Amino acid sequence: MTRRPSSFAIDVPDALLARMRQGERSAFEQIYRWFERPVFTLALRICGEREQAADVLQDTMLKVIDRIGEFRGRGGTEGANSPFWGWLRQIAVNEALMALRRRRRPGEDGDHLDDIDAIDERTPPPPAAADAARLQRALETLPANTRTALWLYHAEGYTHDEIGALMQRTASFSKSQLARGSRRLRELLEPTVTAPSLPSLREAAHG
Amino acid sequence: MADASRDPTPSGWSDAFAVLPLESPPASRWPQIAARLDAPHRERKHRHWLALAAGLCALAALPLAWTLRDAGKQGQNDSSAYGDNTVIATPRIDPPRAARVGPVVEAPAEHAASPSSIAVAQAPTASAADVEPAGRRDARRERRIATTTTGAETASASSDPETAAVASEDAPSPTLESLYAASTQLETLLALTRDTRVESGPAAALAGALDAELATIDAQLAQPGLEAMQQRALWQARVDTLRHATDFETQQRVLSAQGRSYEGALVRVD
Repeated sequence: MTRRPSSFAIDVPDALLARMRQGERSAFEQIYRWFERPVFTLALRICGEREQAADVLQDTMLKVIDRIGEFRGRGGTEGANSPFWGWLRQIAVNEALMALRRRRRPGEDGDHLDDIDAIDERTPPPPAAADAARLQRALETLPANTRTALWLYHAEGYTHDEIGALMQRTASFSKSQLARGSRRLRELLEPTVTAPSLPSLREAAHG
Repeated sequence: MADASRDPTPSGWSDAFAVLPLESPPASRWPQIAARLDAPHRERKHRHWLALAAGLCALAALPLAWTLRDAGKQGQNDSSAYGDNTVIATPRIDPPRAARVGPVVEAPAEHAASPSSIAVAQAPTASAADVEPAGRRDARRERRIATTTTGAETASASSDPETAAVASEDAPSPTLESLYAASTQLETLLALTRDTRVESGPAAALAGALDAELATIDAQLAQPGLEAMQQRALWQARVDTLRHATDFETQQRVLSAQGRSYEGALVRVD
């Protein structure tokens, strides 16, 4: 399965990175402008609250400013082992997950593991998923952990192992959340159709 | 809204998510970031020198502390020199903790093995009382302080069943949920109480040290694969640090309202 590139995948010229390392304010502002929306969107998908997502955006950018001296990679995406955007995205994910952990209330964990059914993961989404507004509303109704796993896997291209580690859980937890999330999204996007049976899903998966 | 007729079925969830529009924050956060970008340069430099100065002060006070400690040990052998209730002042190595609780006293050497022998100076000095007014302490800290004020009291406390019961109350570890909640509440309180406009130099250094402590804990919490026990310990440490920071900021506000500052309390060894 080919994945679309992350919205973070922006080439940052090495000259701009050098200016940032020298503490040049305009360079930081440039980076803020470029990454404001990708960071905010990621934080919103994880936290689910706009104000909290804005706080995550601010904290992420402040961390970038404080730690730019520690970044040893390159700015571009081509041929760079650790592009700047990947480093920045990692900070954003950590900050968002930290905000989520701080806010988490008892019963919100969703720690119990579902039976993992890979079919859910591979089955194409229903046609209604092309309706961005409906898909967005459906995403908002999911529990935070489920939404986070879905977003990190499908939109940002993280692996189950990486998601499990980031969420301080296991790869199985990530798979379970993904299966649950995909199933739930399908139900939400096709509310008039009862949940499809396993054989029909298999049929759909294999064309 | 996406045109469903043009692209009826996304081939996968990845495609479906990719066409979702990027969101924008309710208001740009650049002004806040820019403000911090300007201020921290001065502040950080300022705090760096203050932290260095505070460290040098602590180092300079160490020989005096060792001398007093040796004198204490001698006094233990010669009971005519020091009574049972004698306490010896020693500066603590960890500057944030030392300052947040005021001068620290150590009980006579016979109690040194007990964790409760490091006690917070409460009644003996006016400065300590000023730094830690009773109204601002939570019940647990108050109990701890009350049971560890002097060596003699510590000795009696260890054999007192009632005190033992109080100590056992501290034993059950809080749940992660309660730690999350406490952390959130304290963080909110800290944001409300902190006011950098009225911060003195040493107080700014101390606040910076506490922030650094907090940042270290956050960085550890962000590490993947933490065991539940490690998580609980780190969250407990976070709550403790936030509580100290909140206490400290509150004290600052109280002292500043009274026209006084923390500086005397920071360097006093009595």
